[in-house]
Amino acid sequence: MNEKHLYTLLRVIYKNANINILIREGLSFSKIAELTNEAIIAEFVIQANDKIELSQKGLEKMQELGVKFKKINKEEWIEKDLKSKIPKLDKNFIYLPDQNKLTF
Amino acid sequence: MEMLPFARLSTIFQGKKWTEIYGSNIVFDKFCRLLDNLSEQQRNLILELTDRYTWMSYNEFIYRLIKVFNSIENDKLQALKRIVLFPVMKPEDEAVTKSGHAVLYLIQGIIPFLIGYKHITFGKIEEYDKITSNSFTISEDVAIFLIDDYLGSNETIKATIDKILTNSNIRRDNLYIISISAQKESLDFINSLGISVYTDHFSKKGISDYYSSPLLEENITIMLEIEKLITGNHFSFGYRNSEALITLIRTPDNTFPIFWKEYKKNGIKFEAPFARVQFNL
Repeated sequence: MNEKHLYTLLRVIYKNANINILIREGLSFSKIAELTNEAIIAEFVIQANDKIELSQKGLEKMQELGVKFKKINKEEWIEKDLKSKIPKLDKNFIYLPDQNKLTF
Repeated sequence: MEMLPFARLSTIFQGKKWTEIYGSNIVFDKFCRLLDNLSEQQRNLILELTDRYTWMSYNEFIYRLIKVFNSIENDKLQALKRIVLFPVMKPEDEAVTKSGHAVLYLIQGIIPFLIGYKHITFGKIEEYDKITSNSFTISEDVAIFLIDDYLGSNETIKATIDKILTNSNIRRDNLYIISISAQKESLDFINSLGISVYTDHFSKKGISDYYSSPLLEENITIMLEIEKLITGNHFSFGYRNSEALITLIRTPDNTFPIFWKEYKKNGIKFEAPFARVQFNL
């Protein structure tokens, strides 16, 4: 188990963050699934029907790895909110809101 | 995407043993992209549908094909000396390779594994001209097996039966329909004609057969919203609203198109998990 990826995975689960952080670390979705399974087998992560969370052991592991990998440079841990980014609009684009959705 | 839907998808893949199918990681990645492009509500519906989705590996396909042949009653087989295989296809599709043709070829490979067929010889015909010609006659101990992997809406099977029965030498009881999977619509139609049909998998409607009001209407609305991501012509809810959830060697167009049709999000194109590839001339 790659410790750096494991640390990111545990943080993602702890913070209920977006897993795309792991994609940006170079993992594919299927690799993330493998890593998650390994973390479950190692009892760092508990998965039930409608929740996934860290065990006490996972929490301790995250803190332990945190000493090693915590990013202090804010450029590295503040990420762009790409989900909210929209395609560039043409300068002649006219926005007509849906009349039914206006609140005024 | 957050961890929970991702973990749910991963659990579905493992539970269904899809992780053992070659190419599973490619399909999994495309599924994740799809979930990532959906709202939470849409994602939940796709996860529920994925949970009841059938993805047949090539191995399972062969296994089920053998099972279908072995499910034919022994007394019927004893009365036969020869079986003529014919692919299910619309007469206008004769020049195109349809799934029935692919299954026909595979049958050659499975014959040694069949039980109760040792006394029977097999033949095949792939042209309507030959089977509808008056020179094609048939005796009591010969059966025509119409072959397909998936019987969706009854359109194709109806066209096949109608055309074959234009040969007055062939009677309905000479016909046997063999398919790995089938929808109710096709089965009802074939049964109404009194023709024998054998299949190993019953394909239900992914939304209509599983929810009742008001969840039914809600999920229909959610799926219509999801389908807005698909550009160009597509078969809403699958060909003739089949609502199928199945991938065999290839995904039939009866399956909900979001599982097989390319879609767009914020101007970016994405491949569907079980893309249906067409040959280009």
